[in-house]
Amino acid sequence: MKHIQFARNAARSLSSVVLFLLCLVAVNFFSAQAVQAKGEKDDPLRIAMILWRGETRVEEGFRAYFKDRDIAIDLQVHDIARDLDKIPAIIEKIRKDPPDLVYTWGTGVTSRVVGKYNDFDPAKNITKLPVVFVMVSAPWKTGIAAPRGQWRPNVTGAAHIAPLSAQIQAIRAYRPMTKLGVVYNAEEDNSLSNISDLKVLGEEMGFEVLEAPLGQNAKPKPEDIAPAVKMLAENGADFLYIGPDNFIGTYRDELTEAGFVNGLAAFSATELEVRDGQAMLGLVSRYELVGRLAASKVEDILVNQISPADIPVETLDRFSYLIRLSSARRLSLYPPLLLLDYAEIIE
Amino acid sequence: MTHPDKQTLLTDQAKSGAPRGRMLPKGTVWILSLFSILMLCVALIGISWRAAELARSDLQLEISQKAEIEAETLAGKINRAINLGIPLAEIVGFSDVLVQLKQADPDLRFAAVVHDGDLLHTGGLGKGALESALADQHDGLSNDYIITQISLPHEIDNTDDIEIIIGHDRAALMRPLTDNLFDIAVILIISLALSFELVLLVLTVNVALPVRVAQRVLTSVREKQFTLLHGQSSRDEIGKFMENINAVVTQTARKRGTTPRSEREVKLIGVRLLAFLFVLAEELARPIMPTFFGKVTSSMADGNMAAGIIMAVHLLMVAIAMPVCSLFQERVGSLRMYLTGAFLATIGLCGTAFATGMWDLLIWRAFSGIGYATTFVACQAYVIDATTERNRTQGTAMMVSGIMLADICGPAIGGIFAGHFGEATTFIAGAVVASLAVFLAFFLLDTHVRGQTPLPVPTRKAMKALLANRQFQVLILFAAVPAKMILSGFLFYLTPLILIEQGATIAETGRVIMLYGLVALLTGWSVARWTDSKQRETRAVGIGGGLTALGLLLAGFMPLYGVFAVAVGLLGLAQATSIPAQVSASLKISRDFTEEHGTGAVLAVLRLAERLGGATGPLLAAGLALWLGTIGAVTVFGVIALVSVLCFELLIGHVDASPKKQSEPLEEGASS
Repeated sequence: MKHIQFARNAARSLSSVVLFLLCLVAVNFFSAQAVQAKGEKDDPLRIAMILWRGETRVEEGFRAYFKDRDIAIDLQVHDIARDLDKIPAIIEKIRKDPPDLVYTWGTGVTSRVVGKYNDFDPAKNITKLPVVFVMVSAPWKTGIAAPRGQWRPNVTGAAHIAPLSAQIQAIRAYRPMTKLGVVYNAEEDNSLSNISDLKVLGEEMGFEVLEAPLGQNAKPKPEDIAPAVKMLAENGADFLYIGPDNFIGTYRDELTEAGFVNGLAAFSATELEVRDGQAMLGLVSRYELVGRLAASKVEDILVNQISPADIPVETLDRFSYLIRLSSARRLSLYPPLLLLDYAEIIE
Repeated sequence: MTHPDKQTLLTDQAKSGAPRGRMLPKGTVWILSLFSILMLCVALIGISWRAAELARSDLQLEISQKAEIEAETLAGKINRAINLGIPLAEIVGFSDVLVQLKQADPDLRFAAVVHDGDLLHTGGLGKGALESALADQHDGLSNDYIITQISLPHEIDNTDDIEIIIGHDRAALMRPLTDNLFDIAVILIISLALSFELVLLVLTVNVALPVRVAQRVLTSVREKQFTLLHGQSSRDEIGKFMENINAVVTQTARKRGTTPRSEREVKLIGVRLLAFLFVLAEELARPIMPTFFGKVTSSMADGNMAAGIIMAVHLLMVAIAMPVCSLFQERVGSLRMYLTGAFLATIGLCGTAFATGMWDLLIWRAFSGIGYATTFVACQAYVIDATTERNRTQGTAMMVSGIMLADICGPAIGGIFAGHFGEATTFIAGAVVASLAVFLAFFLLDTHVRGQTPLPVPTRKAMKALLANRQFQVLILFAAVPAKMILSGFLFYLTPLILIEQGATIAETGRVIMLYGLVALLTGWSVARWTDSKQRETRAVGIGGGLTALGLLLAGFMPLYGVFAVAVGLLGLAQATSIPAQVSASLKISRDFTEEHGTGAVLAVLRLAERLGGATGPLLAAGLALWLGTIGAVTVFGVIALVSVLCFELLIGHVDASPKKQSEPLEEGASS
């Protein structure tokens, strides 16, 4: 009898354990279903985009990433049309109807939206909602990203600039360069940070940075660009360098045209200056790929439920060498044979 | 390489104190040897040259195909530039493309683009030099270059007015010869050495020995003694002639009422070939052992680890079997011992070829190890029994040179063999060589060379006395152990590591290591002859130690490829000087013991000490390399060698050259 009693107890205990495990599986299954439901047609990812100058190829890549993965997104696009003063109103609007995530484009926009890692105001900046930025050339230098070893709980993103040393090597692969001319807006943090980095690198790699700062005394004007380029040409600059500078980006054609007049080719660290403008060469992250990289981070945050603090701020590990042949022809500075093997030639 | 037969005499006549023959053969044997080697040299050089010629014509075709591909690559780039609208004259970076092509083809010297007869773009050579090279050319060959020219269809007007010209170094045609010069030399030396072994054996057994014995018999007839019969069996003209003489001697002796005795010489030369064969059987598969063992055991363990264990077990069995066999050598006799060893080696190698897993492989390799050790001890015992103190070093050197030769030839032949016939077949080839040794041992080991009648087993007291012998201790501690420790630590561990670290290829490293065996082989007998003639074995051991220290300190202070080659060469000379002398010296030092209990125990202790030194070498080298770096380790090894030789010289004292009992008289001409 004792044996039968023991067997019954054992069977009861075993069935309890099995029931408990089945419950665990069911809970896990339904919670997984709940997470998977995010991003489906009836529950799209709601993303507020704050853009500097309307949609670019970056946003094309961003959208394409979700389309390829069949993830539904609902984008609310806020275009500030190069006017940073519009941002507080947009933030207010976002607070009233909070999306799942905020997407910001460029250093200026991102700085205003999230502040610096050690200098932000919850009343003015977005500090609770996750934010993914794109097209921030120097996220650590500008304080948007926290230094190594620290993190921001709600901010991550994708940078787009190739390392400066790679940019200099790219210029030298085209022609020898010992003097690099830079026209920049002295009012922009990212330009100033870039110039100081270039000077340090110049000492290491053996080139001189010829500066032509604009807007030191008053707001910079497009007509200041041509005299500045002329001055650089007279001082012996070998190339014009277009870095991450919103003002120069806006008036890139003035800069490149002045370059043609003075026999100076322009190198750009961003794609649009070569693809849509007249810069002769560039080592760039392709905008579409930057957009896809940012979208993968959004997927990690909203679909895979990873905290932004655990997602690194990073740049692409491959860059495109672009050559605008029409500009090369105008300057009679044809690309070397070896570059033709791997550069993307744009007519 | 040019040493003649080194027959050591153990004859009835020798024991009676009568004069013996020369160590160096005179007249025809020398001439025949030299002539055959010369013929062989001519034949081998001819074959090598012809092989290089054949390779050269293949290479010319290969170069021209490669040149066309390179020219087409250049043409493709030029075409792309033209298609992009870049004017031909304004193309930039042509010479950079050439630099890139040169990285893949070091023989490429220049390239040019010619348009309407003008050199538009050039790379590799200046315009003037290029023009003169093109002017010199005839059918694509100039004095210095192979020139390839292709036309580039001008897509705009489809004319052939653009030409791409590229030039290769004409010396590239000799590349197979120059690149493989060392390999060709190695094959040449191996072939020569092998042929020399055969010529030496055939001439010695068939000509030198019968003639020498005949000379003694005829001398005795001339002196009207009629006491000697020609006992060196030979079925050729010498044999037939001496049979007639024997008949005359027998008849005359019978008339005089005396009985002539048979005169013959020991075929000590045979032990050289037998030593060569048993080492060759093992060494053939040396280059493929790690990979083969790894493959066989792959289902059971990590390949490298298993290969290491199996090789360690083999070494362990050799280390155990050698001293044990040395103790029994006199009881068993060298012929029986050699046959047993070669038989075990045959089984071991055959089993290895068909091994299916780790455990059976371990057993087969253990068999091989025991077989190797047994045959080694048998050869050593044979040499000791067939020699006296007066020529023991030469006898040992002769056996060592057979081993050295197999060490050099075995891996080289085995590598080629394995490449053509597979790894398992290489082990079978080793087994065939070992079984051939069994067969040849019946002919090559003289049956009447037997150890003395079995001596009593050494008592504990006698062993204690042997080990307490101060000179024996000094020899073991400051010569035998350091010699093997340095050999394995410096030559087999540190040298490859350092040379490869410094950018030498595996082939270059192999050549430097091979230098050790080669120097030892070439100098061994001359040095041994000197040692025997002076009867200063301990001095030879000291000189060996000094040479080792000199080489190592040189390599430690100037760690260059050339200096390492010199150090390795010096080590070869040092070991050739020291190792055979150590055997003679150990027996001489422990004469009190050997007279009572035979040589086995002495040799067992010597072998054990050597194995201990050999095992310590790589461990010590690895430890020192971790601590001081590889170069520092070489310097420390040099210091150890120096300290050892100083201690040896200071402590060894005087070794009595003459045995207590009546020694055999020095044979006439032995010191000549």
